[in-house]
Amino acid sequence: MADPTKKTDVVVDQGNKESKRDWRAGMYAEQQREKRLAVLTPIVSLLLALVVGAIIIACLGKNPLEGYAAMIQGSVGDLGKLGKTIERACPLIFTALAAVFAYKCGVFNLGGEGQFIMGASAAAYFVLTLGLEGVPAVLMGLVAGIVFGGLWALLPGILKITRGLNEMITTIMFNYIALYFMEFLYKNVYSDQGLPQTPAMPKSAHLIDVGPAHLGVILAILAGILLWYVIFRTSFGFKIRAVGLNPTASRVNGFPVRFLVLAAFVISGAIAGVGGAVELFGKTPFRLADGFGSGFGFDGVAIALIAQLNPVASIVVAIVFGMLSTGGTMMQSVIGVPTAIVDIIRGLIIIFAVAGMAMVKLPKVKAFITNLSNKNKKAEVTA
Amino acid sequence: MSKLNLDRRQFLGLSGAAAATMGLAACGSSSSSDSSSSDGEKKSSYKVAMIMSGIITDGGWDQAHYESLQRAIEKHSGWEMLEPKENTATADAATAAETYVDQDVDLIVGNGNQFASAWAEVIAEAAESHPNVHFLITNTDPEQEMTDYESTDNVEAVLPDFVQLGSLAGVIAGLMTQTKSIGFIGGMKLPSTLNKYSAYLAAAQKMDASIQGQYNFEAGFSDAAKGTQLTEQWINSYNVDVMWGDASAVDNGARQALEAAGADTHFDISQPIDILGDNQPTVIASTVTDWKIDQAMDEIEAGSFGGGKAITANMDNGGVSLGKFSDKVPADVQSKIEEYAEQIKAGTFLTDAEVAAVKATL
Amino acid sequence: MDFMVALPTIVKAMAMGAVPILLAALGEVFSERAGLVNIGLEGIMAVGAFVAFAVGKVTGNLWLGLLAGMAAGVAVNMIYAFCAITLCSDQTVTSMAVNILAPAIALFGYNLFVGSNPDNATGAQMASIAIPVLSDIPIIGNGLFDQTLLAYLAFLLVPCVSFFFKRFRAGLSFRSVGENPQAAETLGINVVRVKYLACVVCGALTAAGGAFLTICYTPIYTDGIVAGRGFIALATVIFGRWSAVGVMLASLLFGFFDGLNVALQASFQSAPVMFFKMIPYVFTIIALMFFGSKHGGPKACGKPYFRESR
Repeated sequence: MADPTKKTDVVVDQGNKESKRDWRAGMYAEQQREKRLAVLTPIVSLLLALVVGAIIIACLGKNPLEGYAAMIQGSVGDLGKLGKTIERACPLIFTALAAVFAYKCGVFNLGGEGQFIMGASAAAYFVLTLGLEGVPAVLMGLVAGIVFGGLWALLPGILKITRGLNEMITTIMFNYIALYFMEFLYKNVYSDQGLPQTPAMPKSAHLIDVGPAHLGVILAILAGILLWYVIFRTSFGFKIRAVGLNPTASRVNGFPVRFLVLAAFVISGAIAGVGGAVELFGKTPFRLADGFGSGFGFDGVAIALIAQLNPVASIVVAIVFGMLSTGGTMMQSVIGVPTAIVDIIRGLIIIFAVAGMAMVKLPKVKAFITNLSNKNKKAEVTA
Repeated sequence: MSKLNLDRRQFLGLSGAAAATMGLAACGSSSSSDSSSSDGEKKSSYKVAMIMSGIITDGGWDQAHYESLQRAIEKHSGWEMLEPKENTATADAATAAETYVDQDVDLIVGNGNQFASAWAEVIAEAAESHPNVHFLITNTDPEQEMTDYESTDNVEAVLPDFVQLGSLAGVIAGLMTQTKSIGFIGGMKLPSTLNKYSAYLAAAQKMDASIQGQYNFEAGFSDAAKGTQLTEQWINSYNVDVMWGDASAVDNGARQALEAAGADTHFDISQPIDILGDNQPTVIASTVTDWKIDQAMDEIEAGSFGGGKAITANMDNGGVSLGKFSDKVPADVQSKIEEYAEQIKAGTFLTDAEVAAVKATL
Repeated sequence: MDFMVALPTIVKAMAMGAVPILLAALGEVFSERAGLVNIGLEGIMAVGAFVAFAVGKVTGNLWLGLLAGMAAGVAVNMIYAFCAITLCSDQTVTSMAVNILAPAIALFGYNLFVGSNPDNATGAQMASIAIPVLSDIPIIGNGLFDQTLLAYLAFLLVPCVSFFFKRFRAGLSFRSVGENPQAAETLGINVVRVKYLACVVCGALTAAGGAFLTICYTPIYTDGIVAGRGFIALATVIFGRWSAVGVMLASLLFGFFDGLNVALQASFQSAPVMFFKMIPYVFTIIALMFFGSKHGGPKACGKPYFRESR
């Protein structure tokens, strides 16, 4: 997870400013280049995935361009559709932010889905049990989501720092437990007339629409900006990143590594949990039922990685994923291809992005790119 | 380890593929979208789309819906079917429906009651913006599950007669079981599942009061191994020898366990499609459901569709029927079953109280 | 529930349920021994399950199906191998992408396969072979010694793998690659080649585990048939402390709890069965708490190996 960009960032912050001005200029150029690459790589991988998808579609005898046009039209074609796309992206933003924060601290939280589900389950449970309505219900739900999402991540966190258990495995196990727990809630505790679903949240507690999308989207974006600030602009965030980059050195420096790791778990879980609550109050059918939150955790991790662990970029990538979901149906219905195509394209985007990002960091490729841009500059100068 | 080469190769591949795509696009740019909404005045061409929870080839629930739709299309020449939307997650159910609303599809079918709650808003919005889009949701009781609908003008539900289905299977099971022990696996604890099982056991016990029933309503619809394990456990612990399933792929697992225990003495009744054949040695009969999409199409053509009413799919209109029998069902038993089927059709076989009595024990 | 009546079936469920997990976990042992964490087992299993099913159906030869399934598993895992080894990408995320991509490919293939001919929906099934005498042992005999050949092979693989890692030069070089690739390279071991080899073995075995589901358990493929077994296999590797025998015991234990879960479901029908369904996962966490110590496992596991940084 070592992110060279950030490393140099730290060095520059603390470096001796008076000497080494030249060196800094060189570093600056390289940073700029890396930043450009960081933006370019996911875009190229997206295009590449679309091209492969187009070839598959063409092999089925359908017109891929017509399909992609339908996809764009169906996801961002008008304000209403754009709103739906952003609403679809909303839970993904939360799970992606959860992944970003954990990964920054070197914690591989794959339990976003479980924490999301626990957050929503707690929100539903308290609202239904206390019979809350309106704003109190929403506030109660959000708090419950934060607390129980955090708690659900605290468990694997404790297992990691006390027993040294790999959180990748434990969080996945906790996902299943959360899933069955939610099942218990909607089948046995608060079943809606015997149906496997909870009653809908009271109408007065539904999140209001702000423009084309519900209020939760604003919360998600605010959370993203706040997280960016915490990670990159506060000393707490600096410590979190330091632990992620090098736990041993952090310990030597006197950072409370265990506490920070635990904090990363809890905060990450809390973000996913509040995402669950927002989804519950923000989106039809406003209730827990089979399939609630399914797949959001893993998608969130993928989004976080494609966004190179940048909270703000995560929002953008999540919206692209939202476009695939909302536009995918339009594409398949207009040109008549099976649903699996959209999933294949999604998987390809992730693979190409991950591979591409790794590739540009390889020493040889890096040298090649540096070489290339230097040559370009020289060419500019001579011309 | 030459990354440089790789880069170039990828670039070449990319541009080549892009060129190929462009070429194909140019060739096949015959847009056949003449969506002329002729304001309800004597339409001649209609479009129908189905949104489903699973995949059309699951050998159960979703396939049965798909086949119902195909049969309906065959009967209605003016109708065209769009590619079904498979594997629809809860989070995508509403947007998937909106997609078809935008295309002015005349009929959108949702294959399960989960769509009733997911589509409440979509249907309300479509009622204003696209009044000629109609919705049909299967396995849904409008009086229970559409109570929060603002407008039911363009919605109908399909409700198969679960008691008839259960009774048919129960009669077959009751007449065929030697061990007086029968089993049932349901994928999810839905009202329909409970009704089916209650009628199944009540009917079987009417054949022989000593018959015992085993059930599981939580097996899901995809983990076939779970069906095998459950059925094995029942065979060994309770001597179950006839199974009736309501859990798609999981039913396949159950059949596997029955076959391993001996296909000559262990039988399966399939649902909701007839899969009798050489590669299904345990299947002796089937209870077939048709979701009466053809009736919905008739109503749309006649302009009488809507009002949030429920189309009942039963033995009178062909919505519920018996499949073919295998040779393992003796001729006299077959004729007995046919006899009882007539009673079931006439509604004289089981009383509601008898079904409710079983249901109370679940 | 009469436990003694249910027990033979639980034993059978244990032995059968353990096989796919065991095969996938053995594959993962190879991968992690060579320093590669691969959480894409679930996806590879799905592809193995589908391809074995389809090829077995078309050719009528289940072993050919198995081989094809394994080959497909290797092919899918090569995506991971190329990204993780050659491009040094993040192993977790790469393999997770495989988890998203591979089942979609399998489903797409299945759609084409069954869509073109509905008869293709049901395939053939491997017959089980009862071992004389042993299979007559009460309670456990029928469950353990009346299995398909593939299941026996899976269990036979355990001592082979164990022997390979302990006695063979190649096995030792595997381990050194996972412990300290830089040192291994100085000893003349081709680290990259060993890692690729590990991915080949991992892909093949994992896919075989998936194939077991469709050619030995039930003769159908369906989306979601792997049902989390790939993730359980990951846990058994840690629980079994990266040793073949440990992994086998762990997967049998998991199989037992899964069988128990079903037996409880079969007997206590009106109880909230989701708590029974939780048992295997809760158990895995508890087991890891007690047995999965932080000192197990290859040291360089999960870390990319930059040859240039030698």
